[in-house]
Amino acid sequence: MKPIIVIAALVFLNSAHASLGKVQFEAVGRPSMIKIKGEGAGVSSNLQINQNKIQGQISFNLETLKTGIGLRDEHMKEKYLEIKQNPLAVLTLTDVQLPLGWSLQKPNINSSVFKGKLLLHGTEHEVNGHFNVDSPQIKGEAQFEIKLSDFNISIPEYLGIKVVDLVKINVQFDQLKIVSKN
Amino acid sequence: MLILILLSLFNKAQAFPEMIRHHYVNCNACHVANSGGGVLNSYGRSISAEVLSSFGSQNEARAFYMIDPEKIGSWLNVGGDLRGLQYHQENEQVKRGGFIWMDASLKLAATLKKLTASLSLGKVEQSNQSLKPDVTKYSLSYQFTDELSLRAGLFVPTYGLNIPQHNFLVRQYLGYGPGTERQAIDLQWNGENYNFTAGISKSLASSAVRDEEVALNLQLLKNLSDQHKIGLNYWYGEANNYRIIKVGAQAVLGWSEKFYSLFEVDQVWSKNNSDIETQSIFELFKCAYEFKKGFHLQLVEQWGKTDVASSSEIQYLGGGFLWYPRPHFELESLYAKRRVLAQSNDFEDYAYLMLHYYF
Repeated sequence: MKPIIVIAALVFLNSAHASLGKVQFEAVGRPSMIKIKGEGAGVSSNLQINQNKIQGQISFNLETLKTGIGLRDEHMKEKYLEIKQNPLAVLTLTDVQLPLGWSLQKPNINSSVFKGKLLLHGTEHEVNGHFNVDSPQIKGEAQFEIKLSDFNISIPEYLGIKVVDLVKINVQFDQLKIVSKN
Repeated sequence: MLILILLSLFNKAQAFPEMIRHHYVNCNACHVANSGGGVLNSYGRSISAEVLSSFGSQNEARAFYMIDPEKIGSWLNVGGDLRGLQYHQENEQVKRGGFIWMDASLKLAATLKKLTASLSLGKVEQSNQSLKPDVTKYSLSYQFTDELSLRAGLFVPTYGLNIPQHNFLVRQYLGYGPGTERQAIDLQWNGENYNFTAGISKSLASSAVRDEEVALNLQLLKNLSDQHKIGLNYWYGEANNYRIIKVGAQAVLGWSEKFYSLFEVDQVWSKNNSDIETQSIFELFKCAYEFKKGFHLQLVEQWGKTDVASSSEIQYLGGGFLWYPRPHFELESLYAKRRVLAQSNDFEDYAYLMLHYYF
């Protein structure tokens, strides 16, 4: 039997094209439990579907991250993420199992568990989370949590507010196209 | 009488619960006191430049323009307030206006490990507008964890929205105006999703409370989506001449980082020694939009009945602006039509411009 090889590329237009895909994060600052929510655009990816698994990379330009407060953004990028040396975050998906019956005609994936590696701040570390695809041409989403200390990022602290080590991350891919090759 | 009402317009303790629209879910992000109000901490001063004001810089926002928190550390926070008000009132019987000083005070908070002592010094004597060096508020608090703290001292116990406009019905008619500080102790939980306060208090004979009242206060607040906070309040008080129960609901709703609303409604049952019961109800709705950074337009609606069995209805509808031009400066204006049916069937015009300088 001819092996079934479906190679699909989920092509995301990068930040040079307007507002496609975004990354959101949420951290907590103690002791007052400030919710620090950030968002940035500029997601690009190169994903393949191979033998019922999604594999590939999603990269994100950290320069676009904003939290709504200019000084906080400056500290985050320059002091903690050090984006001049490490401008990109790269999520490598290594094991996103497609559900039974998945096809390009019915591409929805609802909260599939994934394993991957995140390269951030020049350090690569394993991450686990959930992966969704809503429809063939519109949206994909990956949700996971990281510990800043796993990536050698100093715990941010400013005027008595200290950020908790655990940060929630949500990566959304808008206006993606599925291109299949047989 | 009008002067007394105007003097009660803004309490010394400034607090901005609407900052939840920027995900500041708890007051102690910007204030030393976990319950909010009073002296700003160094992060709060930083935010006054970065988030609150139209213009300004971090250095400008420092206490007295010069105290560098990175050098001093977070153990000491100082500040103070100067607040004055230009007002105008006009109805069929009276047309009057003028400028009055409402507040001139110094504030100090010192923290040693988990213990924080704070006090407020100085007040404007209402009768002759003179400055008196009285200690009007003090407390000692112990922080067990980031969330849990115990506080004792002389302060206004926690009930309802912590807003500075103490002439609003839900503050003034419920007895939480200036001068209503009580000897009190409370336990507070300020968590990521919930806030809880339980306290007991006793008012002094010299305070502005109706009588020497011993009271229990409870408040439970829940954060929703980090931009909304809803909650319930309960108060039970006993004095020589009356017993009183207050039950209220409140909401601070940050629809976006620009658009927000405040809401509170309270029902009050009061019974005197002759067993005559009076029921009252008061409501506040405020809606505001920050058109430019630091500049807000606001709409305020209030309604109340001091005695639900009578025609003692109070109606109030007003609009105005809030402007924080630079760190240390605040301006608030409100023009309103209001009617107290027990006094007159006609609406009166009522307006003020409040000038606040915090150093």
